[in-house]
Amino acid sequence: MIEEPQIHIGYAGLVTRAVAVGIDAFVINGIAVITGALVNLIASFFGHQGDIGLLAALLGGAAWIAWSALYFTVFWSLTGQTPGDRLMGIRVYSDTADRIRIRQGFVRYWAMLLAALPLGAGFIPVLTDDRRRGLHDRIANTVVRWDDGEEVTAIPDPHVAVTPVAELPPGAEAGTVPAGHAPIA
Amino acid sequence: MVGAVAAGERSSRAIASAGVRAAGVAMWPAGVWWRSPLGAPVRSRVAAASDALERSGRELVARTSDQARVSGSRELKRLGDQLSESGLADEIIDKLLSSGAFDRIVTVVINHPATEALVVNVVDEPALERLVSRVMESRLVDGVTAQLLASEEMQAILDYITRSPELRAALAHQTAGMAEDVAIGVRSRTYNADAAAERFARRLLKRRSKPEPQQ
Repeated sequence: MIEEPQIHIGYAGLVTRAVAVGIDAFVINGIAVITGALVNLIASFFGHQGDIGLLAALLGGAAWIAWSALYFTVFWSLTGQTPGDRLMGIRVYSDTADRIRIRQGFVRYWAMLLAALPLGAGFIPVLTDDRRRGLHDRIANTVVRWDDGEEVTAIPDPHVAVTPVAELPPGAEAGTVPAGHAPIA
Repeated sequence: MVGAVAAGERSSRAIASAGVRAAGVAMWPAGVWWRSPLGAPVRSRVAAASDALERSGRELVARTSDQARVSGSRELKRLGDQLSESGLADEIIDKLLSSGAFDRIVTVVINHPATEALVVNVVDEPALERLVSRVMESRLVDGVTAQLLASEEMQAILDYITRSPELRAALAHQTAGMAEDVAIGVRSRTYNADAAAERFARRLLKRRSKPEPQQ
């Protein structure tokens, strides 16, 4: 008989993470659009008419990917939180409860793009995994947990029975739910 | 002795009464003459003389009043000058203020029921309300307000307020509080949505539901 894995509410779910990524995408694209407009404005001073060739489009796409890679990698490796994560109150940790390294964050970014390629199928495991990990989390050995501002010293083993306190969202005591986290209906 | 004095007084009164009657009898012909046409010329001269005397008296009174007014104001002015030069007035005012008498006077006036009644009456007066309304609607207030807003002092005050660390801290705190409220609301909804999405996925995959957390 296969043991049913325990659910750990301390791990953030798909919807929360999707909202956080959406906020980050808004920030990334907003800055990219403003930067692109400024570049176009400066180029217009030198007689550029606004028509973009294939090379320029490829360069722009590469710049966008580099910029978004820099955004996610730097935020994840420095604080474990992008602005979107911060707003949603979640944080990315290494499997070993450490803060993720730059290389790990870089891998996680490319794995996230990889998970998004097959119409987002790489994110479906978040719905079924015991630690709510997607493909990119498995590749980069990371988890996403609710952030209550306290330092996480260990990531709970999903196959070990957890106490009710450990199952609660961050900041909660047994029998309570912290502010901002409604109980599961 | 007392009896002798009383007797003397009675005899004196009797003598005086007899004298007055005798004088009246003696003056009777003069009175008849005075009232008769024969006395008319004399009466007119006496009336003219009395009128002249009255005019002189009035003029004398007017001159005297003017002189008294002029000399009085001159003396008062000189006295005022001397007071201000000597510093006596300042000294008196200083003593009054330092003695606390002025404070007591102000306190008594403020706490007096009559003052309160006066204020209540004045405030409740419809005429005052009309007056205030007219003043507020007047162009004077608009002009004064515009001048006040355009003045350098007002700009300095506004500058000081906007640069006030306390005000900035309060605004930042309020803004952060509002953002935090919004974030908490969004987190609550996504938290429930996470669980709902997982239940839906498990139904699709025909897997058993995860146990609900014990709380």
